[in-house]
Amino acid sequence: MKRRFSHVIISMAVLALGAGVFASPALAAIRIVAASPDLADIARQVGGDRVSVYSIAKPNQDLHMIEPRPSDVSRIARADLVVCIGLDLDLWMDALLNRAGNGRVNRGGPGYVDASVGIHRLDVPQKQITGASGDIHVYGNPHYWLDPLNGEVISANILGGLKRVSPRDADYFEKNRNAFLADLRSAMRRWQEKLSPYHGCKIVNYHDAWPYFARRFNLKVLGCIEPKPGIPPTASHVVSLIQQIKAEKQPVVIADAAYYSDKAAKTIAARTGAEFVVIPSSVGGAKGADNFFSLFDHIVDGLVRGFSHR
Amino acid sequence: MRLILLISLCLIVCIGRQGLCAEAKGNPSDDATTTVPLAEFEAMKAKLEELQREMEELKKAVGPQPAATPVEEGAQPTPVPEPAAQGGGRALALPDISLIVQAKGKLSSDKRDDGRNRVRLCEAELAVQGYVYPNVKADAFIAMSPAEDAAAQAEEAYLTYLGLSKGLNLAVGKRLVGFGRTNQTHCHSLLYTRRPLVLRNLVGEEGLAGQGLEASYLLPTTGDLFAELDMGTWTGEGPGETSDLPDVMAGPGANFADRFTTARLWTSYPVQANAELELGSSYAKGEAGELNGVSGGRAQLTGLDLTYRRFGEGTSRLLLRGEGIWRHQTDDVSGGSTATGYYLFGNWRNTKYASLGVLYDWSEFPQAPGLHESAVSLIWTKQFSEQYYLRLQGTHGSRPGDDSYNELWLHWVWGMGPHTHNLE
Repeated sequence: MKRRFSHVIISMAVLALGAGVFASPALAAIRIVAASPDLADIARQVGGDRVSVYSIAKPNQDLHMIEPRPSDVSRIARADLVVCIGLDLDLWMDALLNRAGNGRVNRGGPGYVDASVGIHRLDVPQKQITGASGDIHVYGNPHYWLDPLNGEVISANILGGLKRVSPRDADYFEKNRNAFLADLRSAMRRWQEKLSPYHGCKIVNYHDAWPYFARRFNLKVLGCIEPKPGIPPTASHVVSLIQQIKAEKQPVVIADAAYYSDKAAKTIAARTGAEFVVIPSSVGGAKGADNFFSLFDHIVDGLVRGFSHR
Repeated sequence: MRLILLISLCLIVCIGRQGLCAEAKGNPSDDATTTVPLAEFEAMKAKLEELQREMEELKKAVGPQPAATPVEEGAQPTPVPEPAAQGGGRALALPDISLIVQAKGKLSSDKRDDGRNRVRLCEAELAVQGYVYPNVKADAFIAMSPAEDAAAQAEEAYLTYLGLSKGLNLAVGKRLVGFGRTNQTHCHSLLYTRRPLVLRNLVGEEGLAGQGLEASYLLPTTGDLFAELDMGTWTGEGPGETSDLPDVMAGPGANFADRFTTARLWTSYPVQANAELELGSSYAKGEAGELNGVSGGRAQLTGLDLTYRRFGEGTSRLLLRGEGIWRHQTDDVSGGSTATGYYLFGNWRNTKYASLGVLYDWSEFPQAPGLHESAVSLIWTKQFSEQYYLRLQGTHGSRPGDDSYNELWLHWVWGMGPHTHNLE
């Protein structure tokens, strides 16, 4: 029996090594592994055709609870650049980075990018937080990519990382980023124009992921279906939200990603007449929302549809 | 709000000043003088300077504000923050410090079980984790358990040298060794209340731990194939936590007397974009501890594990896992004996708040050849938050002396502080 299993181990090792030895040489493109589809798309736009980009999280996955997969370790081991969300949202990246044994992309290495550096953070706790506060992030609300203008900071961080790992391509990356910024400014005008009639209007979300978006477009978050971040809705909290929405004179839209339970949202909508719309919160989260710009097209159009419903 | 008021005040004062100047300019008699009394003007000037100072202080306190409107086309791109490698979070020099506590309540129909019909604090685990040098990470897990002889002991305490060379990590210290799919997973991270019977009987009640070195090498594969080889050399840690069960109902675990070595090959492949298939094989060998009054032999453990995980939207996930263990012991007196066992486990997590699992166990006893036990368990976990969950596990099984026992477990786990583990 012992010999049989020794043979199994040896055979598997030989097969795995063989796969490496006889495999085709690696592509010359700079290999980027991003924590989320949103960061991956911005990296793709800045890196252009000189990078290959992979996202650990898939569209419509809850970024708070990603289970890293062993095959992700292999990708990070071969990566030239790793882009993390930061603000303690993607602590699961640490398990992958530690396992991969790739010193270039570990924290502090030239290929490590924390995309949150330089972000003006919202909801930074100003008092002691405990478990009674729910799943609060100590460095502030981590859903910063939902302010499209934060794409400027995110792309700047990625550009910095790309310049460190491939200085000879610096001009090319800079040019791509400038094109990205130009597109972003143009799109911002479009989105702001669409949402300008609804300045001051209120939204209700399942999870507290939208303060950056609301602030950028002069919307207000009336409340969340989760009474506290990460805590499932209670009947009393839902009743309280219903009363708040009923007291509003302007239309209120209930909106969040498809992967959250819509049971409470539909109940609230039915009791108040508020419109419930499903909006993607990450690139790939809806059909056609396949890049950073079409993501916000979907979000903005969804909200406009909701606000103009009555 | 205060800042806005101050800015408004400044503007009013400025506009007032400009108005006075304009009034003065409009005066054809003398455009260099004012009709405001000097004392009043000096007071206004002092007030303005005071307001400006206060405004600057408030601006510093509030920090930089994002642009309220998009930057005009052609404006300078946002400067790259330097150095980018420093995080927007985790900026403090403190290590990650956390405490995880577990309590279990058990109802059992087997009257021989000393732990039945009680609620007990199982373990409080204090973790201190952080980097001590670039690419050198330190992890220490101090376990405090009423069931242990010592009030507190280092369950694990090790340094990991990350990326010694490409794909190579080296861990030094005391840790749960790389054997089997879940041996390095701490109890509070498992998806069931007790470790599967085969692991308890043939590997160890609290897993197989040792003091020594372990090298992990990521084999240079391409594509999506993951292949890692772990090899360790250890000094034994004994059988670990004392079981509530009589000897005949709980195996001695790996029961290495002193030195032992381990090897594990772990491979994984994403069979679909949202699904992963893992295959692992493990081997451990060392001097055997005393078994049935005989000592001085050698013990060998071999293991084979297969895991399939499929991820859906949000937090939904299906996990299917099977693991088989073979333990063989040779000695000069009896020649040798082999004990085997396996478990099959399935877990479905529909939302982040709840999951449902089924566990089937079958295991022999190294100390009692020919005897075996089996059990089937239904497991429901309610995840209240990232820091607190409650698990209910109902088991029906048979073991020597009781071919139809029932158990009901309640398992509370709560924790505080940032707590991370290796890939699980």
